[in-house]
Amino acid sequence: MLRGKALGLAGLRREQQVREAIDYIASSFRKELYESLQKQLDIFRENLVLFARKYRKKIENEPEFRAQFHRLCVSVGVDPLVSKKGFWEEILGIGDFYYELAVKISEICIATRGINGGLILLDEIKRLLDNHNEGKLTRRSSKRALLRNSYQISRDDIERAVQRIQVLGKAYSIVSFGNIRYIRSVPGELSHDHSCVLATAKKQGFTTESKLIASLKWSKERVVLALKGLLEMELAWIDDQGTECLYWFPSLYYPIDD
Amino acid sequence: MSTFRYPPFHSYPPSFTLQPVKTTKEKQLKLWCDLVLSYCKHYKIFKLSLTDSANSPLFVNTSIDRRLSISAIEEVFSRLVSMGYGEWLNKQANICLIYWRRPNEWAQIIYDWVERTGRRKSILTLYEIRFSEDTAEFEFHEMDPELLLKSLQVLESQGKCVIFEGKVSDDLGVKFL
Repeated sequence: MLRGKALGLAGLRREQQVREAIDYIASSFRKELYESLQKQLDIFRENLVLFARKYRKKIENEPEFRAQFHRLCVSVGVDPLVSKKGFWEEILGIGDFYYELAVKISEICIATRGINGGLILLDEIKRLLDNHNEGKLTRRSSKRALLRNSYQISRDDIERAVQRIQVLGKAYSIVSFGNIRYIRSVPGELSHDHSCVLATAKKQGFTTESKLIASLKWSKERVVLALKGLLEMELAWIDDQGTECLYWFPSLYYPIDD
Repeated sequence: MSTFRYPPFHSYPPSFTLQPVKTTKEKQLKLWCDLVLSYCKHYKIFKLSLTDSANSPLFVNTSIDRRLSISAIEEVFSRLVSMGYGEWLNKQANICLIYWRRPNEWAQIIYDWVERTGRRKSILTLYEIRFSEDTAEFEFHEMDPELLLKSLQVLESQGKCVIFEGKVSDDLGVKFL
């Protein structure tokens, strides 16, 4: 034990030894604490993964629950939406690339919804995304990594992105009819008849009652009902200045501003 | 003056038929109102007559052979009026003032000019404000006389000017305070 102040060289040496001993104990203590915290965190994460697996459906379906889960993830330094490839991607099916792509797609859907009623051709999305990549559109979005790297975006990528973004809300869906694919960004399903009408109008961007009757071999009533439905869903606009009333579909054709 | 660039909406055939579904029609009227305002601003048009404008390229697109009917144009004007972007000047003659700037905005612009050019306490005729060389570079040059009067009345109600009738001519005079 130190009593009073030791003098001379021996005293100094002793003081140093004591300090070193204290440092050693403190650092090993810190290390232990760190390791034990690390261990706890790992267990926590493992449980989080188990939890995410177990409640995936619930996470997908219940916005409130999803938000809570999200906060839990963020508290341990994991953001399920932005984490790189790895188990988080496997578990929730969302990676960086597709997340950003999905955001881009939803921006386009929202911007064009006023005109097209929330239905847009997948090819049109691709065309607009390609334009984005050429730097024609907003500066803000060009900061995104997706566009910085200017990936070539395939139709498959778009479909995958939309499927994944469904985790965030059920409004987005891919509607396909024959080989035509659309992205629907408002809730509400297209019936078989509505899809048939759209497929018939695809080439010209409009159709008429008589054309539909001739090509689909439906009764007039059935045609009228389908068209009425499309008008009410804001997917069709009428034009009474042709020889016959024309039904236009902005999702199939809309003039381009250039 | 540069030619006006019409939005894509103007070359879409069904834009020229009023839509039967209410929600779609709302969007359509909004698009037409926006177009009327930007068109009038571009060409410095202060009022439109229903009958004349029915033949204007604003409401007729010959390249797709479509035109907006008079009754549809009337709905567009009425919508502008209800949103505060227009005012029926003469309902019988179907003339509508188009407010790509509202009278209170014009009032502000005119009063800024008065202050900046040291015209407070001076008397001007309305004709001078509209046609004087001094105002040539300002947006209110060659402004519609009735819109000018409305704008000055805004200033008068704020105590910034007094409008009075001239003794010799029928032109009105204004004293800025």
